Amino acid sequence: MKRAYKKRKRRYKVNYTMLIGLIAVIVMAIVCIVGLVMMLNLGGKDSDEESSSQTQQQTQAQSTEAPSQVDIKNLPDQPQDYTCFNNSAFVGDSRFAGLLNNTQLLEPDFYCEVGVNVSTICKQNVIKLEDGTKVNLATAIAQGSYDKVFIQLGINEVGWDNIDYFQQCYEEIINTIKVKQPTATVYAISIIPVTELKDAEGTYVNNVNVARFNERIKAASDKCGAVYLDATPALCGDAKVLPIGASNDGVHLNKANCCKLLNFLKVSTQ
Amino acid sequence: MKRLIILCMMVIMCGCFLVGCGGDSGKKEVDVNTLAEELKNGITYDDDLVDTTTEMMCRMFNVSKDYIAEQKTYNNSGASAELISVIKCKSKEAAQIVKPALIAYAAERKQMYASYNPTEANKLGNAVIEVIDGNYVVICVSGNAAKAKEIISK
Repeated sequence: MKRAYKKRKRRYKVNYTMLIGLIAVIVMAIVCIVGLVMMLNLGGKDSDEESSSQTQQQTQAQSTEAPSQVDIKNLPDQPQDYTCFNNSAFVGDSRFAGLLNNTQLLEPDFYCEVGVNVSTICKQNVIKLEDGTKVNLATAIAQGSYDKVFIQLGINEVGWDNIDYFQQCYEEIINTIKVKQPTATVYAISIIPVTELKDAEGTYVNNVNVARFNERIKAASDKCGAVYLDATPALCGDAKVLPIGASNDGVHLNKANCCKLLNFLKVSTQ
Repeated sequence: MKRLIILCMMVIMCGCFLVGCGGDSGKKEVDVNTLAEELKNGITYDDDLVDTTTEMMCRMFNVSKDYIAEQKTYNNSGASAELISVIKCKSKEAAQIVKPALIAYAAERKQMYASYNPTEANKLGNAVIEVIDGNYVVICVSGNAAKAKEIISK
């Protein structure tokens, strides 16, 4: 009787240990399965979000591709389809360098550098190529074959006394590009105004000077066969002042307004 | 006796698991996104820093994508020279190639800014460029190099 009882007791204890081990294995298995399901769900959500944002972008691209109906003063400030610039070159100063940083267009060629002006860009080796070498504009613009070349220069020069020299240099830039890229359309973009706060600082970087120098850019464009693009309405609306929220320092455009500028260039050059 | 043996085996197994899961092997695991965020949020910047793709980063620093395992870069909007880049290289040898490229980048930008904007040139002169744990390279161009070093050293 006692022996039978002891046997039953021993059997009971062995089963209890196995039960604990079994529960532990089941719990671990449940945790692994839950984790796997969560990972799969996250992966599914990411691809869904990506495809829906692509659809959204395509829809937006379609909605702005009606040139005759486009309201220049109310362009979107989100990224669009920019494949139209794949065969373009952008020549400019830090404002165009900022455009590259903000929009990260890798297909077009950017020949831009912080601090360059209409004189140094032609006369000095200030443009850095992809291989790291520094060249002047004539060498840089000969790197590829472009159907459009955009110029954005002037904000560093609006304090110059000799505005005739500015126009002369600008004409040299247009002519240099036309010689190296005879089949390309050259677009001279107006100097974008600065914000009211920047304007009020009382430095040479003010909107009166911006307007004066823009007249000379237009004159240089007309003389040399470039197309003058006035970006002011697209970025400033009816005011000739850059909105406060469009720039962190009053001069360089933030990402949204870089997109707006690109959208303006897109609809203006179709 | 059997119970004692099973109990001892369980204790030994638990001990093995704890040793395996815990403990510092001496290798610091750096999360590029976390460190970049800490540098972005822990320092006040004058510029709006923009999330930058690997292709763009490689172009900026003139390094091959073949060296890069993972990266997180915040670049300036053109208004300043400010920059954060945390790069996990594929190997320690790759890091020894990437680091000089970042040093060259900072030096070249400093030269560009020297006459144009001395404040930004100064930031580039004080750029923090460090290698962490052999294959992580970090660059931070900001107005507070001391704070950047403090964040990176954590």
